[in-house]
Amino acid sequence: MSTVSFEATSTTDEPLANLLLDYPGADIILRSQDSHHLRVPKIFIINNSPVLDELVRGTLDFPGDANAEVSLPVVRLPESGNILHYLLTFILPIFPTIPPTHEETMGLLSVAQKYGMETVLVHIRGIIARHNPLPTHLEPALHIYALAQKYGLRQEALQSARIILKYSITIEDLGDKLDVMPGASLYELWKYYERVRTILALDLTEFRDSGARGLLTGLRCTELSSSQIPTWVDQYIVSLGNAPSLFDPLEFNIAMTRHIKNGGNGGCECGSISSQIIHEFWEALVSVVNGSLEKVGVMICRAA
Amino acid sequence: MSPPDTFDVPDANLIIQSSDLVHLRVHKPVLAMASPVFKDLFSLPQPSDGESVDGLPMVQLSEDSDLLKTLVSMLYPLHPVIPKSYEKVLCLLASFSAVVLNPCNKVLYLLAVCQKYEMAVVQSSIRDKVSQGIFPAPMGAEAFSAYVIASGKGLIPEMENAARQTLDHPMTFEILGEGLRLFEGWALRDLTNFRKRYRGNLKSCLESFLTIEESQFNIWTSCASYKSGYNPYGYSGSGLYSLSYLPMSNTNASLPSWLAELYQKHLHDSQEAFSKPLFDPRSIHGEYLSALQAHINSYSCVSCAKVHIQKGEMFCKDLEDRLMQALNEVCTCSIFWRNCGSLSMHLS
Repeated sequence: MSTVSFEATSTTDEPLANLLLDYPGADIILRSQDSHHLRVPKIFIINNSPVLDELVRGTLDFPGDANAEVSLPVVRLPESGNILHYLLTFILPIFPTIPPTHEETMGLLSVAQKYGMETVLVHIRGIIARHNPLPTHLEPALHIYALAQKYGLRQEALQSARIILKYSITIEDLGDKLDVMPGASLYELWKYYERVRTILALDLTEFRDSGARGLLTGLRCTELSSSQIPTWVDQYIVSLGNAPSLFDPLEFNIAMTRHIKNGGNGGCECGSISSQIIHEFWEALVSVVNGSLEKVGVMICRAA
Repeated sequence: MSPPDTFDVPDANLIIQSSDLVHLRVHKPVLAMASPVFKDLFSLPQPSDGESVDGLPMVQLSEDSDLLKTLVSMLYPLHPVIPKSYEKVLCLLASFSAVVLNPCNKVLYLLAVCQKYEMAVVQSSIRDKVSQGIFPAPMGAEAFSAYVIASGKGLIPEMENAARQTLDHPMTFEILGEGLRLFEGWALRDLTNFRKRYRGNLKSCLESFLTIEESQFNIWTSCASYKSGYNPYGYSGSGLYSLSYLPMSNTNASLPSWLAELYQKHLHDSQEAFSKPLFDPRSIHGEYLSALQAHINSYSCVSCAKVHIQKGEMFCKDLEDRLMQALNEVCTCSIFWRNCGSLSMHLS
């Protein structure tokens, strides 16, 4: 819990090493948990954070305010000086800086979230998206997901969970990577995976029965499913509901190649399917899958 | 002698107060003998203004009265009090209550308290009662939650037993269900690796059976059955048979196909070590007999029947021992030693 206090310390009394930031026109000191001082104009703080606004007002209402001419009011915050410094780069009109590690970046987002800095959060997320987007490999994605769960960052948890969907999710496959993941977070990831599969299976069934057929008109295949689309296409669509990791153009091409190689004879025209048809079909499928993913959120467990 | 509702032993000189404010009247020397922790506590000078009830000094403990009654009952010549409910003891894990509220897990918490107060004799006694079936042991898939608790509390034998028991069940998200929430990342990783190592050992062991050169495994001769034979001399009487040889395994000429198929089946099954239970070495005897019986019934193989009568039981015992060794090597040299080093971090 943040605490507010006055300190009768002047600028000259502060060790230089402890002064992380001294912005012109500063009228308040933020004191970090590790005793760093950040001197800032309070207008920037109170305009960006309703939580800090309240804290600063509490400071100014304090009886010791009479000393304000000789010392600045001090707001003690439980975060490290480093994180507060990164946060202030998004509040003050200076060059915004994101931390070098995912751990610190998630920490920064969580602090902005904690202090109700909605605009700052959007700003930080924008900078992250442009300069340091979330990793697409499984291991770092799991790490980000675990951190997002730890810090209660729903958006990052959802983004990383969607990345993880591209991989096979079994206890056997996750193996050593489970080290970073508390069971409660892993449980929510699995529940998310199950919900995605359920929604995806429903939406894809509808797509098979209605949309897909129209997209594949004129395609002559010797093996048609009950949905009147080539069986291999039908099977591929069904497989996505069971294993979303198969949602990949490469997997689609493998399914088509297998069909042409094994069964595509005797009047089957799947081998000469135009790239235009494939493109349109794939775009429609992407739309269905993305629509399904939009319907599913991640629960935050805050277990860590 | 039925267990008392509250502890009020004669001539008590100490009151223990549980976390739910129940008082248990006990003897200091009894506690001191059972627990070095209490012995040290009693050796310290007692504050003159310390809490007391009815003139007796009082010690507050963080455990629930159910747990303490069981613990203290084991220090006296009484029937041990088996706690009827452990909800409060398990309140730390309240959100997982559906998973952990079972008698076996209550015993694990009891053992953990013994560990905390260094009550080695009582702990040993509880373990005896579990092995004798007086106290409950984990049943079925309860082994997963038992593993979590035992590993978190540093109960090495219980952790080892539970880990072994989990092998009898698939290890999937579906099987773990809400129990997954109990796991710390390191515990799930360790259990996963334990399973993988056993699968690796089992695979190596079965592969070696398919090519083995050791004499105790090389007892088989070519499968042969008697068939009614062609009589070149025109003799038409009954009882003339010729030996007909059956093909042996293509990996080992001295291994009958039926036995090779048994090994290969388990080799194949081991690929699905997480979606299916892993092979239990103790079942090899039954499976061997079934496969042999089917083979003899199908082919009237006199050769295998004869070898089995002479050496089959010993062969089977060697098989089981070898497979059990594959399991034991994993249990004794993998997660457990490593966890011993890090237990101090997890002990509460």
